Amino acid sequence: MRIGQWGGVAALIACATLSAAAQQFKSGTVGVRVDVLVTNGQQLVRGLQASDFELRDEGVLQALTQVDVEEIPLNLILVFDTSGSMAGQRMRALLDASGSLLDGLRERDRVALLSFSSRVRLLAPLTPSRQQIRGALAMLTARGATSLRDAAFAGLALREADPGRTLLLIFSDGADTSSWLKAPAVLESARRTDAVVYGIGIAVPQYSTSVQRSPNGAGTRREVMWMVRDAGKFLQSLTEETGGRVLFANSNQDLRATFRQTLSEFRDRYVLSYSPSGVSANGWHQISVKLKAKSGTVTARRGYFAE
Amino acid sequence: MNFRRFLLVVSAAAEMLSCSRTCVAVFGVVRIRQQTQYSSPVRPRTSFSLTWRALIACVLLCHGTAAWPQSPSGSYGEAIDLLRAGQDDLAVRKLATVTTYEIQEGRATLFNAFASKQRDVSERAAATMRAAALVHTERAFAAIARDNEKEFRDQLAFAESYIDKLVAADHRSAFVRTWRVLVLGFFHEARMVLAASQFARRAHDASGDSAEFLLALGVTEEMAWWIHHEEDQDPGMKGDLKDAERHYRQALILAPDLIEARVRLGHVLLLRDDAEGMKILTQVGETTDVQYRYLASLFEGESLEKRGDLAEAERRYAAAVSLIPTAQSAYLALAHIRHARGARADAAEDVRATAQASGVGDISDPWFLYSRGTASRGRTYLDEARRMIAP
Repeated sequence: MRIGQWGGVAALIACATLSAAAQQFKSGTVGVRVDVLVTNGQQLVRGLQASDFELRDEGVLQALTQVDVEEIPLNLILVFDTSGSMAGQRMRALLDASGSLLDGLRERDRVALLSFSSRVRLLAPLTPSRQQIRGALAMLTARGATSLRDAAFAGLALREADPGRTLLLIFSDGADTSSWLKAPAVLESARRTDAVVYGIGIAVPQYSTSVQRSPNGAGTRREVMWMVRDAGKFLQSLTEETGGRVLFANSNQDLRATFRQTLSEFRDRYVLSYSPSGVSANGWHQISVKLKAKSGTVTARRGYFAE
Repeated sequence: MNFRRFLLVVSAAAEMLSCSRTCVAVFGVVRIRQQTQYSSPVRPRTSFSLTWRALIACVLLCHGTAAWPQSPSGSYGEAIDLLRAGQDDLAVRKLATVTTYEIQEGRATLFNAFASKQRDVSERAAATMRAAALVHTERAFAAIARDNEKEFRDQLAFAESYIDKLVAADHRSAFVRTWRVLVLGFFHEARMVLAASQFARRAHDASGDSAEFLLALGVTEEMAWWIHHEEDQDPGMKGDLKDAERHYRQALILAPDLIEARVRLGHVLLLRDDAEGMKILTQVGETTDVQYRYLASLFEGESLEKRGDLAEAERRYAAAVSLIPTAQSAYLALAHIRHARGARADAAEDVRATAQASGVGDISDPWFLYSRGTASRGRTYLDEARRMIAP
């Protein structure tokens, strides 16, 4: 089976320079890598081994090995909405949350920064320099429309041919208004990379007031507030397609914690790898990942393209 | 002259002044005095005396025409003046300080002046009403930007009340026609296609068609279709590409040189898989306007890609890139097609080329303007409308 040179979905694991600890990644090894999240309710499930998982490629059971996540460098591609609605406090909260996120990275992790309003801008390519990213963040200004789909595609296309895990963190506070690319086109591109997409949104508070009447006619005013969490169908589909999730901050102030949670969750995922056997060489491969005996919900990409 | 007749004289004088506030003031003073006279133990003055006084009042009133207010005073008048001076932001902010009562009072003043039989008074009032309609419109759409729907509705209703008066007096009012396409442009900018459609229906019934108005009608349908089908959002209406096509064709009958209508006609035909769209866009490609040629190439590429002719689609996208290298959509379309056929490094290079370009404005891409409907024509419409608000 010939698999795409990089990323395409299934990560080509042709890693020449990984550390000794990542025994599975030896020079010349070719295989598929699947990034997996396991949750039980709201809790992450930790401490699982490859033997706890059952992975089928086109329905064919595969022999798995587990990769030590700690040993794989992270390529974090930040894709930030800078449309007009981000002006003011929300932008300040985004900058604060981003600073906190950078503090949580490890030395060999790399970061890129894309911003989008009508236009998508690559403000910093993948770089180990935090200073460069902080400088680029300081330049962000909010104005214009929202080209969310164009920006998501740009982020996916920038995934480089290296052995790192790629996390695309998309923050947006609104619906797309100006992209050229259509949702199916971007989702198709997502199937061709192994990047995991996390979407972060801000929950919108909704209020309703009702008056409850007692038998004597007196009224008790009752106000109910609930949070609407809606990332829009596109972002929801994109994260599902890549095995990521959409997380919501309840307020601007909450954004910092949500960013840190995303990074922490990404580090707590499992990376399974296998050399596909008993399946066709090319085309779309549907994969399914389950837990054999333990309880929990597995979130992983839906498949990959072998090219 | 009896009291009743006296009132008629004063009313007539006031009518000549076309100013309700003046009218009420004069009327009030005279009536109070007359009541005082009758309640006084002193013998009532003769009707001759009253007539004389009334005549003096009339002469004074007529003589002082220019001094009586014929346009709104206070903050409302200042807001209108600021708009006339081209200080739109300040005008909108000033209007925010004006109470509904003050607006209603100022509007009544203007309506009275507008109804005057003195042509110069009426024309001056009409110009001020046009300015008032504009400032309320700008405030309405500023309210939308702040998600204040009530304010938006109230302000647009004030603007429409002036427009209704103006159109009742002049069915073919150039200002009203410009104002309507301007408002549709504002609606497009805010992506309020349902409101645009409802507004257009009212306007269409009131004053018929112009090429620009028909273009805006077509754009409303096209935008609604796009938002509903391509963006998977609910704009409140599904949009009908056949209606869009009909409006664009009608617009082109009235104004064959309206290239935007031609480009949009070609686009909606391609969206409906009608081969005529390609012919129309090929014609557009022969025009000298690079923006429209860019859009034509982009739409042709999209249609070819949909039909599976990826090589030709790539050529059209590349042609669009070469027409306007700073525009982004064609670059991304090109990158996407390369990414899909496995040329990842080329795709990444395309993305870097367009996303790293410095000094390029946010609306440097004709597609961004196209996707905002007729909003991009707003500046032209606003300038046109502004020329008609001078006192």
